[in-house]
Amino acid sequence: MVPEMGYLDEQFNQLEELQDESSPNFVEEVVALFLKDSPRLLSNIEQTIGKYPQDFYRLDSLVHQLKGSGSSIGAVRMKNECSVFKAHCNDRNLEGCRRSLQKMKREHATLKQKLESYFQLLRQVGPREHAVNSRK
Amino acid sequence: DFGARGCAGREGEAAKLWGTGRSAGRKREAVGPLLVRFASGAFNPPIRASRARAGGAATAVSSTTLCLCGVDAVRRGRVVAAAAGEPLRRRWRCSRMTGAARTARGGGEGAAGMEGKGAVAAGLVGFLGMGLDRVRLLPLPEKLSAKALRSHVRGHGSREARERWWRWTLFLWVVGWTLICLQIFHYFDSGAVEKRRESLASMCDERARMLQDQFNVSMNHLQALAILVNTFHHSLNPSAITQATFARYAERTAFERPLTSGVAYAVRVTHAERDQFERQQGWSIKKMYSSPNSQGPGDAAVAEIRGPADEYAPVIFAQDAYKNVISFDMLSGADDRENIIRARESGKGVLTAPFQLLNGRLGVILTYSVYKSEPPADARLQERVQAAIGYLGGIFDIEALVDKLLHQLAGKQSIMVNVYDTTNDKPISMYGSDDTGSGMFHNSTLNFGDPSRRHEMHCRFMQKPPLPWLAITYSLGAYVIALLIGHIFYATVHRIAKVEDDLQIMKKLKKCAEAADVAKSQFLATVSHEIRTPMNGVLGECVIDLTHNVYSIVFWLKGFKQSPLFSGMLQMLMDTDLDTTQQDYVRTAQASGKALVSLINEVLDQAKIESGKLELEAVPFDLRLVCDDILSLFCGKAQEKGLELAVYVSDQVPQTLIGDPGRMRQIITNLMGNSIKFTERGHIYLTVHVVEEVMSCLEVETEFQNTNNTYNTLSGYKVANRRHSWQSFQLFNTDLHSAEMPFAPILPETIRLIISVEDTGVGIPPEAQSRIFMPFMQVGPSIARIHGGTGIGLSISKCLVHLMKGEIGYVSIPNVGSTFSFTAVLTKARSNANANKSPGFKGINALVVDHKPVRAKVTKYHLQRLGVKTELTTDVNQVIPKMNCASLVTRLVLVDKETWMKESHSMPHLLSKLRSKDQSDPPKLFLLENPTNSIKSSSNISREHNLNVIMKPLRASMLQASLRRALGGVDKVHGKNGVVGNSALGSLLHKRQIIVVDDNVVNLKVAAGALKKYGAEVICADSGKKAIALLKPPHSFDACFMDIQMPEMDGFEATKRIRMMERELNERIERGEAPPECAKVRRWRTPILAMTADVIQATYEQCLKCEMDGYVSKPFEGEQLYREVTRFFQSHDHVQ
Repeated sequence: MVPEMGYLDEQFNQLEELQDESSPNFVEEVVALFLKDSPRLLSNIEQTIGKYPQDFYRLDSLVHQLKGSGSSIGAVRMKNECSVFKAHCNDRNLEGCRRSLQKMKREHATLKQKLESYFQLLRQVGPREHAVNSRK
Repeated sequence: DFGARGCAGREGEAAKLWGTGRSAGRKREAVGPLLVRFASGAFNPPIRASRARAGGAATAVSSTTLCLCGVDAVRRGRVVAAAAGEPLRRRWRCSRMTGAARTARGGGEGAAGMEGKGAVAAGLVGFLGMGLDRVRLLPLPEKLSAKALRSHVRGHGSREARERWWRWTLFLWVVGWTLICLQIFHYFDSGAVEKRRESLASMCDERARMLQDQFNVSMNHLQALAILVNTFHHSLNPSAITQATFARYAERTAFERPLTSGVAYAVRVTHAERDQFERQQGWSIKKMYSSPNSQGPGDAAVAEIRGPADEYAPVIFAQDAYKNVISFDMLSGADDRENIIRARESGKGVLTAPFQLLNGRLGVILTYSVYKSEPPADARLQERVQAAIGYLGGIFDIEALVDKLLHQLAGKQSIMVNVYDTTNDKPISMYGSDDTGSGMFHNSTLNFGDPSRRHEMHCRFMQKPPLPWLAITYSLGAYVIALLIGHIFYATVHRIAKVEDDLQIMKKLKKCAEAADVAKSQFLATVSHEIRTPMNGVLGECVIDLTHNVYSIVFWLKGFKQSPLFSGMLQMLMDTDLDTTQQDYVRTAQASGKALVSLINEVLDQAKIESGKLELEAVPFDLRLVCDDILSLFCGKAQEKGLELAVYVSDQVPQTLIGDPGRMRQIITNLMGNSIKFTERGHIYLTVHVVEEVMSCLEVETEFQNTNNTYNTLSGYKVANRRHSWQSFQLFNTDLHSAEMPFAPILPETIRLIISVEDTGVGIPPEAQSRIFMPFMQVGPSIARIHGGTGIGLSISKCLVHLMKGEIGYVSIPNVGSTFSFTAVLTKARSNANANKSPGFKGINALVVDHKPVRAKVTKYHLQRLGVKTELTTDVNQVIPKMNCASLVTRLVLVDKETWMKESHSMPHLLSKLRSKDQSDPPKLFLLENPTNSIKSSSNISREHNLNVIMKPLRASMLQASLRRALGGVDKVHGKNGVVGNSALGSLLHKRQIIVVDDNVVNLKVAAGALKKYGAEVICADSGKKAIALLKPPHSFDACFMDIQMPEMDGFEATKRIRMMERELNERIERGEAPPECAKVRRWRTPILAMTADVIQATYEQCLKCEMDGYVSKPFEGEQLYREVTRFFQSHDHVQ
């Protein structure tokens, strides 16, 4: 039922719980916000990585932001990759950072695709089915 | 180096060896001359090197053999081949054993004399190698045996060489000491001989001197006699001496000449005077020897008449014994004649050579010449001859002389004396037996006054020299000591070698053990990996790719555990429209999945602990909440089984502790889980005390007093005294001895807790008690079947307890129950004592009615946590009086269900009394319900009497919700047991104005959404600066959630600035210059909570430092959020 197996965690369910009559499209809004915000961050990261000398401090803070928003929507794989990236930043391991960035981008693309298709599906099945979906 | 290079290396080496072996054969002729040189003693390192390269066996023995083997080239060649072959064969064996010398086939057609064996070995090895290839799935033992063998071979070779060396050393030692001891013997022996020689010499010389003296004395007397004769015979006319007087005189003075047996006097008669002389004497001069053969002078009567000669020396006087020599012409005997001539020429006493005397003994004749007038000292020879008128002869009996002399001296037995006349080349023995024994002797020269004759005295010891015992003892002693030392050394070295061998074996075993350990870890990894595959099948491809590393599995499983899909998917499946059977299946699947996850967790924990990778966190936490959570976890199961669960935490335990709550939870959960598993009736009771408290009060003891066959425990069943469970704790034992400062904590901020889990289960059979804490151990195989579980829970718990610097112990009585206790060292957090007393219950009094004090204590504990003032009574009849005498109005009465049932007859009466009291607010009655009691009856009671029912186990959150509902709080809907519902949070946050600060829009949105959900009115700010602007007092916000890590200005900085503004305002308020908006406010302080993604201690402390009120993790966690919000809203209320 949920297409994004392994991509999302508990937090996503919690987000869904937050959704009620007063904010019927809360999850979608948040996700949209994330999908709008994260590419900007990713491109910032990419630019920073390309610069010389490397500003690991800035990289770290950018990745931290990405991690924060990732964990807010429960994008667990994104989040994990961010942690790896941060670890590389700590080690000042540029090569590792590059690898992580590539992975992150891949994850992001998959996630984006999955989320979009998920919401499309939701819109199709309508609000009743969706209500059943929520945990409690 | 042999096994280290692995198969390939070994193959290469073996091939090389073969090559060199063969080339050694070919090079025989080339090596030959070198060997000749080597054998001839030219020690040449390059030669040795080349030999070593060719043969590879540069042992001392073989080199000796090589040296000895002569010049025969063929034979030399063979020796080289043998020397090369030996190590080759040895290596062969190794490679065969390691199963890695299939190369042998290549080398099989090798050097002479080895083809046969080589080929056979090659075949065998090839076979084994193939076999081993097939079992390469188990690479470990192979490697292991290779290693072991390598070490063995290496150890063996070097050991042999060493042993040989030591044997040589021992041999040299023995030989050396033999020589040294001989030297010692010789030294001492020669000393003794020298001493002996000296004593012999001195004795000999002494004898010689005495003999000489005596002889001289005799000689002097003879001379005196000569002078007498001269004076009275020749000078007087007529002569005064006749034969008779002479004989008598000589006889009488014989004592003066003890050595002379006789004296005679011959007179010189010329041929012219002969006739006259013969006439005068009345006899004719006779010849000394009748025939040349006759010995000695014969009888005068029958002797021949002396033929005419120039002169004659007839004897005229003689001692009686020699009267027969009178008239004999002394000049007619050869010896006598020579004697006489020499005597008159020298004017001194002259000796003859020794001859046989008449009595058969040896003697010499001393002859003195008598002169007419004494010639001057420098008289010429002719003058002397002319002056001579007669000759005096004395016969010396040398044998008698020496005998007498020796008799006079001591030690004559020990010494043998020979006297020789050595004038001629052949010495003539004068005295002593003729045996010329060997051995030591001494020669002393004798001087008898006759310069022309030489005499010597030979002395010899009679006895053989005694054995030189001293020398023998010394040398033997030294030799024995040296041998002993050698033996000791050799034995020691031998022993050391043996011990080293043993050590090698031990090392090998250790390696085996370690390898087994590695194998176990690998097994774990493999098993975990195997688990993954079916899981993927069941749960879909949801796992991260993982390697064969245990620790990556740890991470994988962590992720897996957190994945909503595992628990979530089945849950979701359950939420769909399923019929009963399907639901049952799904439930089963879910339960299995959960069991699987817990199993994996345990296995992983074990792996982590064993590798020492497990580290404890140090975060602040509330142990009471942890305990409540654990109770919640088990309440379902307990309900199923009808067990009573309870927790009691002593009020000595601080509110907030710093430690690892997760691990603490894990330990307690393990113990509780075990208890639940094995308990079918009764209760499980979790208690937390401070160690000091437990030891100082005896209350624990009194709990177990037996009254009316029921015990003062939660359920009334007998339990195992938990005091015994910590009897073995070192902590108590050591501290009991040093009674001075009992249980003084190591540091002032640390605290030692003792946590016990008591159950009334089946207990642990005594035979299984010893292995309770061993991993993968269970009481019996049936247990595993019935109850499941891996059996590593307790072992993990033990490890965890050790990590917390504590101890774990238990006491168990079969069919009574078990009590597990453990201690843990935690750190006290900085006290915020009243922070967690929940709001709303201050000043409320409660009365607990329970006939079991232990249970009442638990109830009291929970009520007091909520800030409710609690009194206890065991008697129902005491309720009214107690309520009346209480200073405050008692608004709550809690009655245990059991007590109610026991006193059911009086209860309605009490109820009516309580309610009939004309009070505006009658006390609320609660029934404390145990899941053991049937639901029906209790619901009946509660319906009948309009009671509030609180389901046990009691937990603060649940109790709070119940009380709040009963007291008319906001809660209308209450969730299930123990879950802090959103409503509780909602009640706190409802209509609160909250500002959320985060630079991340997504986070901001989510946080705001979450808070809005709880009814708060949320304003968002996306930077610290905006937050400051919004929070510039006075304002209407109730709280602020602030992200810490923000660009430009982080959360700490923003909070500092806000606090600064607030301080300013507060000062102004104090001075009374407050703006009108904040007239009611005495002190302004907006609660600011940090939002942080990583909750670590440093951040927590930093929060406090920057005057933040706490922190919540991001994304929000319901319970934590509730806790924090409760805390600061309460303190905020306080301030206001």
